[in-house]
Amino acid sequence: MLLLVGMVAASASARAETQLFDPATYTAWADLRLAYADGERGWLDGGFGKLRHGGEAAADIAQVAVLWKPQLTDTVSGYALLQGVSDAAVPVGVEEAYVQWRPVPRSDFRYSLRAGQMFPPISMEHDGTGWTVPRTLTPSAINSWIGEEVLVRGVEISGQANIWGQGVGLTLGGFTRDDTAGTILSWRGWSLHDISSADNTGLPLPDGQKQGWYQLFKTNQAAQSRPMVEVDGRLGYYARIDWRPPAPFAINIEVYDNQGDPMALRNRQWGWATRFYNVGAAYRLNAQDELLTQYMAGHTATGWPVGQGRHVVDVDFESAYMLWSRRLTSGGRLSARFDWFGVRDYSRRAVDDNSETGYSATFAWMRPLSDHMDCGLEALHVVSDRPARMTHDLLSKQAQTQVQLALKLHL
Amino acid sequence: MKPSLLIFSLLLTATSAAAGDLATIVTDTAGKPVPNAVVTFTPDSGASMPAAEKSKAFVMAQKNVQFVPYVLAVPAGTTVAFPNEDRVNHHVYSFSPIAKFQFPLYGKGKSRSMTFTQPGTVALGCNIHDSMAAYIRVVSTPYYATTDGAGRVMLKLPDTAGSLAVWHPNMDAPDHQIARSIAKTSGSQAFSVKVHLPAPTAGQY
Repeated sequence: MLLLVGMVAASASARAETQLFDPATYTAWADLRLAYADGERGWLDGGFGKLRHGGEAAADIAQVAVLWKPQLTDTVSGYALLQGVSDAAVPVGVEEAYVQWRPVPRSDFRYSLRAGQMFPPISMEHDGTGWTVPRTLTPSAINSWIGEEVLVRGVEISGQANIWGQGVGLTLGGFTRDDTAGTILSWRGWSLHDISSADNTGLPLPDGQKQGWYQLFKTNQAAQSRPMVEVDGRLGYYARIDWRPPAPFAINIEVYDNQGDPMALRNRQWGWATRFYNVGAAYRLNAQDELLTQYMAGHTATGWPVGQGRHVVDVDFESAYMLWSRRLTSGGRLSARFDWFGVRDYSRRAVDDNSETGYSATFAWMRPLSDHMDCGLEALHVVSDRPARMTHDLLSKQAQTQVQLALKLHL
Repeated sequence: MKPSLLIFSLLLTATSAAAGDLATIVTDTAGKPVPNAVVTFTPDSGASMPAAEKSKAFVMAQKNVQFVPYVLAVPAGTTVAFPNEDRVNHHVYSFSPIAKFQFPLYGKGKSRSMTFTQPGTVALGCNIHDSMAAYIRVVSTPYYATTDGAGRVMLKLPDTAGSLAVWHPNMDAPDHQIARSIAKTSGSQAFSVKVHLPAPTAGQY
């Protein structure tokens, strides 16, 4: 709060026209979805299914959102997104909410500060309004997970400069919360869906007493993981470097560490020590086509030590995708993405085997219909092998195809 | 910007233009037209800027969260208006050496203005909307024009030798400009220039 007051005071200007509740500070949308998916039960219903839907036909409000961006002073703005998601375990919540200070650049060097609840800048796909994906309906496995378990409350400072014709950037963030990051990634595995977490989100773990999480922790672990809790009182951090050469190419590299205490336990939520590295690159092939790619590798662990430096749950995770997207003359967009993902488990595999491998292919066609209506059509096929499925009497290898039709109404 | 290979080709074609009308076409190395390139002609003997040229109305609007046009060429000494035609406020700024300025937040239907006295390039930004970018190219000659979608301009020139120059914000050349001397100011000139695509904006939010 002090920070906010300081930022507002430091940048107040009598000449500026600020906007607090002006209609121009609001936008809102409703993303309506028809979906059909074959295969196993979805993870939202307590299964191991990798997608938003599994073995069902459904009509959902994929997201209804109100986004408020007040302009407090010349250089200080606010951002708050209230969302409703009809098929989420906790349907209504506040997703990102922060205050941002962006001084007017006086030279090639510029910097900015934001403070509040936010997704660290990892996803290269979520550059649509309100942290949405404009190229497909479903983000990659990497960025689906960011949307699930990597929402933090903290402060972030970012600076960009131009040195010898090279654009360079540095972003540093320090945060609280996000102590359970890694829970759903370990016990359910990677997934591909576009439900972003909010302050009060609950992520359902695979159900039943045969599950590894229940075998190890019994009733000391809640059946829903809460990504926005603080259980260990430790601060986490992230750091990102950007490089933009004078070419149609940009690359970034990032490290994230929540510095979680694996022995911390509060309200049946465990602390997870999670650290990952992410590399992202974008390449503009021509005026219409672009290529995006990300690679992530990390480690997470929770619970008591079991020797050799390992914990009772202790996994490496890794994923990559390559996305091609073309802008069409109709204003629409055609995209194709290939995802690959894997988890390697280092402990207690007899009762809690979290290892998996998989890949997916996604094809999407997005198109504006009018100034206030967009549509999208997407087909996604995913194949994965996860031995833990046998706890649900399923074969460890499963394949699934999902088709979604979206109609997005917006102001 | 790194100086790099520049492919220069002079193609004199046998089109029949009126004396003093010079057609110039700018293409990239792949032969595609380059719009938004500023073509200027400076007579070797120099040229004074007519007062009428400086008093023309020049506009750099903000519309649909973009600057319109992307490149605006103006003679030195001109005043440019910056009307906001959007629902949202904008905060226009430039840190270019020839014109450092800012217009703190202003809303729909309002306008600000600025006089540009020195020749050179003004890179514009909006502090609220990072994706907004545009350029004002301030020129010191009354003979200038900006290429259209077909990469073409037509200049009415005096019958004198001089220097013909092409500038584009993304041209890979020293100061983003190339020039050549011409003896005859009629007919047509063609420039093939190396223009890079802007950096991808994916993941910028």
